[in-house]
Amino acid sequence: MRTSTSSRWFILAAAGVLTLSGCGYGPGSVGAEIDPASTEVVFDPDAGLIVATTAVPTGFDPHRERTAGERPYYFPVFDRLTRLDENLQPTPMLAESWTLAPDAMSLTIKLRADVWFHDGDVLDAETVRLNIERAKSLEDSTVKPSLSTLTSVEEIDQHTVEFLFNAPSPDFAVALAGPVGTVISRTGISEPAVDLRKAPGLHGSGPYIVDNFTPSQSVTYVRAPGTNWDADAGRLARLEIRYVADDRTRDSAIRAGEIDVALVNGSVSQAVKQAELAAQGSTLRLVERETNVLAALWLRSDRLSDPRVRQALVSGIDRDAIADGYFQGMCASSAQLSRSGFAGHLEDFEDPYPFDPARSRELLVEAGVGDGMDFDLSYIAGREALPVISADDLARSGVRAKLHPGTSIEAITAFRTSQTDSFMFQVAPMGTVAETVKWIQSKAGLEFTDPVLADLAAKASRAVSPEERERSNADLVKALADAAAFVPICHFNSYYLVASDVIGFSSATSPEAQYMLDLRSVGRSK
Amino acid sequence: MKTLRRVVITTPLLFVLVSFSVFAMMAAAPGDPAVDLAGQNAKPEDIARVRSELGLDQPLLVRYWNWLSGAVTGDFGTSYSRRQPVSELIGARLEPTLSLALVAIFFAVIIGVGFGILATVRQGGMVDRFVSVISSIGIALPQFWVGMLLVMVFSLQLKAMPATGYVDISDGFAPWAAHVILPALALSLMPAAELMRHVRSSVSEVLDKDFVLTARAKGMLTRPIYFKHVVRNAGIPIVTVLGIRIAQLLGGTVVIETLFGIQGLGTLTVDSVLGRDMPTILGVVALATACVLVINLLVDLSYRFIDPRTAQ
Repeated sequence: MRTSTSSRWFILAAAGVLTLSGCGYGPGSVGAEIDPASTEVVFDPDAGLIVATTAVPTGFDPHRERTAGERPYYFPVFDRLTRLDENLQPTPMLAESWTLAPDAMSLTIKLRADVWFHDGDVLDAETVRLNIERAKSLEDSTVKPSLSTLTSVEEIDQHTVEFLFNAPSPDFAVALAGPVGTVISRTGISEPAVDLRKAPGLHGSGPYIVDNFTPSQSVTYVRAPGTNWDADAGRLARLEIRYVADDRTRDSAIRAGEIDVALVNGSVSQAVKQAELAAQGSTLRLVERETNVLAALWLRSDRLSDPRVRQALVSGIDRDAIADGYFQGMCASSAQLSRSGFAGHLEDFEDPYPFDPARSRELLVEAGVGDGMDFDLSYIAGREALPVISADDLARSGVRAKLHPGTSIEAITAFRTSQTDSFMFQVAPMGTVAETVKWIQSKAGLEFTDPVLADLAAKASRAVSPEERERSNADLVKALADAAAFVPICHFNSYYLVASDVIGFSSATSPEAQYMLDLRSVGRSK
Repeated sequence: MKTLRRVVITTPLLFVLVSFSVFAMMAAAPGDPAVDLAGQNAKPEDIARVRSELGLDQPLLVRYWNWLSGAVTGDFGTSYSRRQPVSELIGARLEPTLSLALVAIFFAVIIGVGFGILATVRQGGMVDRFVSVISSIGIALPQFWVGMLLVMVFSLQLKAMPATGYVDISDGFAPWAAHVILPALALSLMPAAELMRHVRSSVSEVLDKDFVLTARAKGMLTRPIYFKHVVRNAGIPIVTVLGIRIAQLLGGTVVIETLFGIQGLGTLTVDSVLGRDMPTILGVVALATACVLVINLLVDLSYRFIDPRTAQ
């Protein structure tokens, strides 16, 4: 066949474009983070940082947060009494130290004496009391359940507060690391004109103040005036956190150098592989953190009241195949609520219902549904993969799964109100397994009622001595698995692509959730 | 005059028809905005209170009438999820979408008409075949894929254009243009490809007419023949296709805005549909309907200029 010169040029040009577009990455290695504590590190005080994430900025009122996705946006502005370390254990923040009573019926905290809010108010015991009372009394407070055991807050002296409980609450310091422990200035609380959902103003003591807020789009911060009580915080002149829903858009933006940090969707293995490649031989680095976030299929309905049916469902889903196959090892297969290395994980635990399709079918026959059964599964729209794979696995056991997508609140409501038998949901254990189980059983959680588990969770959450806590936690973990209350699938990691001159980003990520960030100490090198 | 009379009569009818269809479809869709707005910890009575506050407990026709009576006075209601007046929300998102659409139309006309005429002039030659291939590819390729390819080549490899975001034109023409060119190109490819085909076939048809032969016989130069007589006579089908494509461009912005991280009406629509934010959806639909009607009117009016015989 004869090819003209212009045709050859066209073919060459097309090949060039395709080659250019296909070879975006070069060989190299994933970079390591600069140690912010190193004496050689020089921070650039005039630097700015742009972060793209999937959390939506909808407001700044910690006591009225609509979802936990608001936290990365108000953490730079408001400080908490405690914060969680990488093992989700509480460490000091505005509370300098604390003492739990031997019976765990009270918690006394000593506040820092050098903290001022940007509106001129000082942090004192009265401010903390007013904040807790606000969190408890606001009609539309979303954090009331975390204060269920709290009866009162006493001001011991100007910088000492005592929390009194109606039941042992050994883990209250963990709750103080979240919205419950967030402290707003007295003016911010008492001034009727202040609407923290729209603008936090100068009523925080954090290292940044909000400069511009575009709802559902982005928040821009500038460094707060004056010296912050935390010498490691507020290292940037400007900070912007943007909501960018699309994985591909965040990826393009960071590789084009338009943003400095991009959340990588850890639920999509291809996105993580792309990010690994992008970090090779470039000025980007991939920051990975194990989280305690568990993807699980929660089971509860009249149709599933026979425990053998639930056991059949747990045995019918191949969790290892999902973790190793679909997620390509980026999600750690698990049979427990808490991940290895985190509080509440049992090392000597044996999975009572490992994947066994034959046993799954036998259990269904024993339960009288050998001819198969219908099964309604709700899930959050856009996260189809796990429900579809699970439904496919269950079909082999004769379970006809019908999938019901919805918004997060619709999907959870469908499960709570028994419109569906199950709910594919990511649970981030809070502090201890007992607290998480209490949340799962609460109206604010999944309303998953089981009297036996409720008793064990209450017992475990009230245990004070380390031995008693360990023993009651083990009992609860085993009972939870025996009850076949949920199909544990795997624990996720969080991934971020970060510009190489960004310092201290690892400390900003949290095992609580993939999107959870506290950017207070992040800076950039000169 | 006849056209204007027709538009005046059909516009309200079309507006009611479209808005009611969307209203009814959204009402029939599964899900309840009150459940979303009441929050995760809401009790059934909280959800009922929110439903009552939003008027969602009223019959469909009453709700629609309430919305319509507000809409005719310019009040499109308040967004459920953002708690902002819909007109404010739309106003804030209008510029990026309008910029994208106008630049895309500009590209589509330049590329489509230019290559279409070129293909006719060089009928049967390499250029004609090239245009034929390009137009087939342009019609076949999905816009998001083209957008991704443009980002990979021009933003990530050549570092010539920004990959994401939007800059207001008030912040400078150059940064605005830099942020708009790639998404507008992605958006314009399909209409440009269709225009190429229509221009080629329409112009070819006109070229065979007797008056073109007469003009040639009179010794008229090729360029004036094309621009004075041929393009004008081939204009009506071209403008018709262009009008349809412009209306479809508005739909295309949904995907392109998401891909390029542009906060325009497209992303607002997606967010509103996912959040079942009925007032915002209806506000956007009302705007889109108005745009389509105006485009159709302009197309109708343009016929008179292209071919005055149509006025008779």
